[in-house]
Amino acid sequence: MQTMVEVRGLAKTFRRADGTAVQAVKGIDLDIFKGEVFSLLGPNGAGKTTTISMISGLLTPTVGDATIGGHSITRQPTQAKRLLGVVPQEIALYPTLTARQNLEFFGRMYGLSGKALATSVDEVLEFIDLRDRQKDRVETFSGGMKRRVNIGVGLLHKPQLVYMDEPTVGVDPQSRRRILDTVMRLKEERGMTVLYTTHLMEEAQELSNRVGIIDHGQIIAMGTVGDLIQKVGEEDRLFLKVGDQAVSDEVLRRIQERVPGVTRAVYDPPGAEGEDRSNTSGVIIVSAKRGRRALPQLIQIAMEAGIEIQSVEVREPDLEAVFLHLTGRALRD
Amino acid sequence: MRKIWTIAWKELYTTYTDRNLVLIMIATPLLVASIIALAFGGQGGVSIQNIPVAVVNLDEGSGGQNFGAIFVSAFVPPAAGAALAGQDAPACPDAPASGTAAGSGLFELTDAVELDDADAARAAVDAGVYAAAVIIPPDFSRKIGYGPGDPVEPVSVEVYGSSGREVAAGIIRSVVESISSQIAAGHIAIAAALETVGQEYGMLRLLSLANSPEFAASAACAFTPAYNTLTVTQQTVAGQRVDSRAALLVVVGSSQAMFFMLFTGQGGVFSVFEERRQGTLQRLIVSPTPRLVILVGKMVGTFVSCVLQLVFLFAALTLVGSLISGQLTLIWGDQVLAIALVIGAAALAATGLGTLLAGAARTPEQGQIFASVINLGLAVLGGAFGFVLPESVSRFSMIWWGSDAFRRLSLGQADIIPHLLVLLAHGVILFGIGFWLFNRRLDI
Repeated sequence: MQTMVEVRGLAKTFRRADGTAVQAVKGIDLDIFKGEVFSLLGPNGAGKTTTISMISGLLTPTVGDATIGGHSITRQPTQAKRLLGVVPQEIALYPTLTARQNLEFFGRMYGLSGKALATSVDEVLEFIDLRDRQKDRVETFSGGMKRRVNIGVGLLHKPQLVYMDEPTVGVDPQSRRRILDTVMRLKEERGMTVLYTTHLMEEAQELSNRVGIIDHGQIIAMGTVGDLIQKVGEEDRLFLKVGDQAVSDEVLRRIQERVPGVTRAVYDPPGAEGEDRSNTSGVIIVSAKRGRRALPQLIQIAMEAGIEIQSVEVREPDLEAVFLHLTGRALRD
Repeated sequence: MRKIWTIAWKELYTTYTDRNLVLIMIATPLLVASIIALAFGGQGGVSIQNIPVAVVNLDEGSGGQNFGAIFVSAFVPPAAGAALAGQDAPACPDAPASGTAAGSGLFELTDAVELDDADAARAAVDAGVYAAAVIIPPDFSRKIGYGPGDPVEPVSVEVYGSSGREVAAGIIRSVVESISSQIAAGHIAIAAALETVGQEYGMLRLLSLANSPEFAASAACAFTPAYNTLTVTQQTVAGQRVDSRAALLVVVGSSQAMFFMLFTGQGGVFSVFEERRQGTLQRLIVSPTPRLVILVGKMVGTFVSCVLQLVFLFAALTLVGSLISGQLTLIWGDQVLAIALVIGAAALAATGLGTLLAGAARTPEQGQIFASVINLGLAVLGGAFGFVLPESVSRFSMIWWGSDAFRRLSLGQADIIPHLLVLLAHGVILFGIGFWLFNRRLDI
């Protein structure tokens, strides 16, 4: 696989007003491959934005370097930046200029001019579905429309790598869906590499080929979502609702002994403060390595014991669980 | 280069499509200048002939000669001139009639009287009796001694001008400067001649000759306006009829234009703070555009904004002046190239100051405080608030350098090279320091 971004020993130390040093990023190594969506996942203040700011040339690293398409961001910044399109978290547009004027202005900053600029602007306006509003000032747009122009500016020069910094923060569900679809289209239709930062594990899980988890300025885990979950050894949990039927210890013992992969089986009777917060029905909770595969045998054992299963829910481990496992904190903390 | 113009064009577009900003940049100084000119410029056209001047000659003389009397004889007609206590102005029997002060039209230009009390003269100027008082110090003749070996000492003639009659006071100052130049030129010529002759005939013998009253009287004629054609400077303004309201438009309009241009210069550069806040600066930095290009683009945009502001203002003030006069009046004079050069130099100085403040300030709020204090200080020093401080103090303000250059050009004078140089120096030095400071802050 061809490497698009190579980060080696990247670190950044800031000086506070009182002279004390704060190490925001502590020597990161990272590879992002061509054509993949790579998500950098971490809570607020973990060092995501500082890392990306150094990769995009906004901040000068204290130590280390990054290359984009083989060009060093510290030694060949102009060449490296030509390959990079940036979609910042905030709406970074001139409000008194029209959508088209904004696109044209930033297009010129990427070296486009004349017919190539006009064609590129038209294509982007089409892509972000704002052709009919191109002559309106950005300040008259809704939040979602501004977001789309904000994304459009980052795509104007057809970059090989697009960096999107939490692009769904503060947008309505409809606009969010549109943005996520746009990311998928960039990857699938244009073959772009996407570097995506978020603190929303659902987005990272949906979009990413690979995920890097960052905390306290360090990458603490990296890989596919499946890999990460496997690495930390998290298990699926199965919730089998049985109403007010009694479940004996013998049944639970049989489940643990006879079903491969099951590590634990407990019964929450009706009225108990169960994990699923539902106390109107009794629930058998089973922890298993491969929960779905265990399901037929579980139902078989229940039927043998005369217990009628009313509903089944399989909860797979997610990145939230991985993060919790790795750091002892929730992502949103 | 293309990116610099793209950034500069964006700056200009966003500035001049902001109606509120344009209102502050152009309409406000235009209104202020027009109202002041209409309110305080008097009714109808008046002549700038017969400027009331008080001449106070405190010169105690030296070697039997009183060079201060040259000023008296230049301004005050012979009949009105008071007798000097035991000392006479140089008598020059063969002086050409056309070269006399009267012949140059200076007596028509001024309505001068001689007084003997400097404080009384200043008080009379303050009271509005005179437009200016010319005060020659007691040691004037002694300090301009021309003999070989005489120490060279600086000496100044005071022109105490009325703040309410700037144009008239400015004219008197120009006349005094011209006479002073003649005296300086005569001094140099005679000192050089004496030095040369002294080497040939012996210094002691020559000194005895030079100190004789006959020689001194003859040599003194070399200093007088009668033997010097430089007095034609006054002839260019003598007898010219100017609407006093239009003249006031120039004085007030130029200082207001300079004052408001400072805000434009700072606002343009300070927009970097706004761009940082809205994230567009970061977006520019992550584009393949060197930081230097971003900064220079902003500076060029700001500079052109300042130039356009002055051009629009001066055009509008010309229109107002013409409406007042009832005919097309080029109130700024007809030296278009010189006016353009001063506009450019002044715009550069304002942009330089803006760059320095933006570079020095840590936050936009801090920058605004710096800007307000400095702009107000420069306005006070430079005479933009209607009162005139001594020129030696006013020279610390770029507002004075700009408005004085425009005033001189409006009077047909061309001696603005020092003004241009000072404004350009302001621009280059302030821009250089500001640029250095600013570039250090761009690591966002």
